This record gives sequence, C-alpha cells and structure tokens, in this order.
Amino acid sequence: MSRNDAERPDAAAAPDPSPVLRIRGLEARYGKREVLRGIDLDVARDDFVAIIGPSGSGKSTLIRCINRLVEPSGGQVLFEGVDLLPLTPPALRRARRDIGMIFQEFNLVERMTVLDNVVMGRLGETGTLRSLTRIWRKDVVDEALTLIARVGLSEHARQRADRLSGGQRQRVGIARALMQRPRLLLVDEPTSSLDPRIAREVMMLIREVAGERRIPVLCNIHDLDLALAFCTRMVGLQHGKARFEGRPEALDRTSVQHIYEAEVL
Amino acid sequence: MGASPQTPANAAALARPRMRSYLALVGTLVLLGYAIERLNIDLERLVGMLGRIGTVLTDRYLPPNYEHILQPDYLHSVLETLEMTWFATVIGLLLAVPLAWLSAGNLTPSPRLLRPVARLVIMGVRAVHEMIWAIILVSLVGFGMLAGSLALVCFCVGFAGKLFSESLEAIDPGPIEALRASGAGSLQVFWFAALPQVRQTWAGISIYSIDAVFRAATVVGFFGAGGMGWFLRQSTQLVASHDVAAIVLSIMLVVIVSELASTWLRHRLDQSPA
Repeated sequence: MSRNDAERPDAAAAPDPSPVLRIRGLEARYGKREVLRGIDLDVARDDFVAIIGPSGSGKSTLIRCINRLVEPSGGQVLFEGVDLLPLTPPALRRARRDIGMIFQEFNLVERMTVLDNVVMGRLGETGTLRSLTRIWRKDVVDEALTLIARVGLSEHARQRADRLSGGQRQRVGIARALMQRPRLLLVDEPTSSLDPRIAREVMMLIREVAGERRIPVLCNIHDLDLALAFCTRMVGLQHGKARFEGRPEALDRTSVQHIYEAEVL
Repeated sequence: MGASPQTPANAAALARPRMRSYLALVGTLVLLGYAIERLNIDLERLVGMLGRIGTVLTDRYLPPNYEHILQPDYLHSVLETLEMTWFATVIGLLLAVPLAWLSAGNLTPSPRLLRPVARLVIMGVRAVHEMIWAIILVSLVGFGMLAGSLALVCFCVGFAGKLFSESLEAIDPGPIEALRASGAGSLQVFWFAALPQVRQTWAGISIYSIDAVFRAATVVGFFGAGGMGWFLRQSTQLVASHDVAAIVLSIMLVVIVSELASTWLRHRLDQSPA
C-alpha cells in the first residue's frame, strides 16, 4: 500500500517509453460538423495523460473514438500495435475487454448491488449463456470483493448502487473498470458530478490503483487544477485540434489562454 | 454566454411553436366541423335516443335471463375464455420480449436487418384488429379455441411488443454504454443493463396485457374462435334479448373483476422493492 505513496512513475520498476496507445490523424464528425480534426497522441505504459480544453472541444469524443463508442471518420487508433478502427464487431469486443472505462455519470446499473456492478466488468470474458444465469465463478466473485475492498466499499458490497453517494458510486465505477484487468484506462470527466473534496479523493484513487497495476490512463478533465495535480502529461484540445502537449510544468499562462481562448472571450 | 433573450432571433424561436400550436388547434376544429357536417349527425335522433334508453331496456332486455348464463355449456365457455387468455398472454409475452429487444433502437444487435423485421412484425400484428385475426384464423384452422388463442397471441404480441420496446428505448443509456465499453455482447447488454431498468415496468405491462387479452377473448368467439362470444352471437341472432342482457352482464362482471385484480396486483408491484 505505502509503495504508491512515492511519486509515480519513478517508483515503478523501469519507465517504459514505448506507447501502449498511439493515435494518428484521428478524425470524427457528427453529420457535417468536424469534431476531431487530425489528432496525434501517444500514451506510454506509465503515463497519466490529462486531456484539457473548453467544453465542446472534442474531449469526450476523442475518448469515445478510442474504444469506438463513437465511430471515427478517419485516422488510426493503435492499441498495443493493433489498429482498432478496422476491427470487426467480435474483434472489437475482444479489444474492448482490455480497455477499462470510467464515466462522468458513473453509469452503474442502479437497481443492482455494488457486487453485481463490479462483477459485470468481467462480462466480456464470460460466455453469453453462462452469464445469463448470473451464476458467477467463485474466483470472479472473490476478485470483485477484493477490488471493492481496495476502493473502500466493503461494507456496501451487498447494497444497491442507488443507495450510495456520488463519490461511492464513482468508486464502484473504478472497481468495475479494474475488474476487466485492463491494460489501458479511459476516464471521462470522472469528477464533474462530485464536490471538490470528493473529486480530489477520486482522482487520487484512480492514480493509485493505476500506479499499482501500471495501467496507463487517458483522462478527460476540464478542471485545470486537478489536471495539474494528478497528470504526468497534458494535451490541450481546442476545436478538435491539439493545441498543447507536454508536461504539466510546461503549461504556462499563455498556453492556457490559448487553449481556452474560445471561452475567455 | 450568448445573446440575451430579447434579441429578435430568440423571439422568433419562441414565437414559432406557439404559432404552430394555434394552427394545430384551428385545424382540429375545422376537421371536427367537417366530420359533423359529413356524418350528418341528427341531433333530434341523438336526443331521442336518450328518451328511448329506458323503454328499450325495460321492454326488451330486462329482466336478464340469469338461467341462460348458469347453464353448464355457458359456464364451460367462460372457462375456455380464461384458458385462452392465459395461454395467449404467456405465449404472446414470450414472443414480445425478443421482438422488443430486436426492435429497440438503442439495444438491437442488428439495426439494418433484424430491427426492421421485428418492427414490421409488431406493426403488422397491430395493424389487424383481433376480431379480424379471429376471422382469418378461423378460416385457416377451423372453428374453436385454437383459432381464438392464435388471434389473441397476435393481439398480445402487438400490444406488449410495442409497450416493451418503447420502455426499452426510454431507459438510461449510461449502463448500456458502460457494458458495451467493457466488451460485453449485445445480449449481455440487454440482460444486465436494460432488463434491470425495465423489470418493474414490464411486470406492470404484463399484468395489463392479461387484462387486455381477456377483454379481447370475451368477443373473439363471436366469429367462432372459442369462448363466451359464441353464445353472445347465437342469442343476438335469435333476438333472445333477455339472454343477451345476461351475457353482457356476465362479460362486464368478469372484465371488472379482472381489472380490479390487475389494478390490485400492479399496486402491490409499485410498492415492492425491485
């Protein structure tokens, strides 16, 4: 536990610079409106990349284009060297199992228990017919309970998700994503529905669990302070184009003005 | 953010729907006036009817011939009606579930092929009234309960299929997105993200279906498709008005009882935790 109190990524063994995710010339459009206009982005094994930018800049679309919840209109998304865009639906489902996702509105099944919600992270690995019986293997349940303990919700494991507070629900969302044993975490505005103190705790938890497992994180976040506090690299989006890329220290006042130009005006 | 509400552009945006609703109201009234004109509704006859209700009831229908509805044959047909209702509702609901899944735009595994087919099936069975299904099926499989049961299955599929599908399309998309993102298949998404959200609504719709199917079951027999409707037809054709009165009363009675039962059941359901 105490191991991740030290600064990431230096605490981990040897930094691994080869990108897990490599995005090239990514484009997306809604009808005629171009939302992403040629995005290039690399995410390495020990990265915690924050995507910042004003609302409407394409942050959410960018994240969703990676696992094709939104279909891109062009470019490449290489995950561990495999381009995800030409994959057939079954192959895409297999690739998605390795990519965990955490959502702004948590996206839990409200009427089911915390345990059920977390175990659902393993649905992709479970045969369809077997999963319909809802009889889970014991080791899967044990693993889910371990993750629930890790995010600090052991007492609530058998409670329905709609009984929990926002911060607790997001912890369930984190545990569900980890249940996939992902090799990449996509995080979409994880704190926008939370109050500031809880937001910080949730970001801390995401960084810790990702660090423990050496999972690279790509995180949309409009709160600049949180982004600066938790990420190792930042990408500033504006009108579907990357306007800034670098370490948080390199983000000065001018770059911020530049990225948020549209909103400041 | 942008312009203030007083700008001309926004004023136009506000005014347009109001204008449209006035037009809709005027259009409706004009159509109503046209229909009354065309139908040539005679107010005198309408008022005269009110005066005649009493005499017709006492002269022709009262007292109802209760013995007619207590004879074993008739009681047996009531039982048949209940059996058809149960069979048709269970089978109809079982067919409606996959059809609803395939036809719900947010969940269908096959938007281009199976979704249009499923929607066509649901719309198709709805387009034909249950009485017309009874006539068609009697000519296909002969008189009796089989024809009636099949007609009621068609009715139930159309009725529940549409309501099931609409309730699926209204669910919170968040869990669907989350499970899809984790690599779950479309049947798993339906089972784990959608069903828990609609379970209660669907239970209510199912009870409501029993009710609606039962009401339809009381009359499909009119065309020989089994159940109590056949007796109604015989008595009306023989102008045995006192028998008709008794049958109508018995139909009203069972429909009211079934409606009370379903209201009670749905009420219980609303209060139970999911």
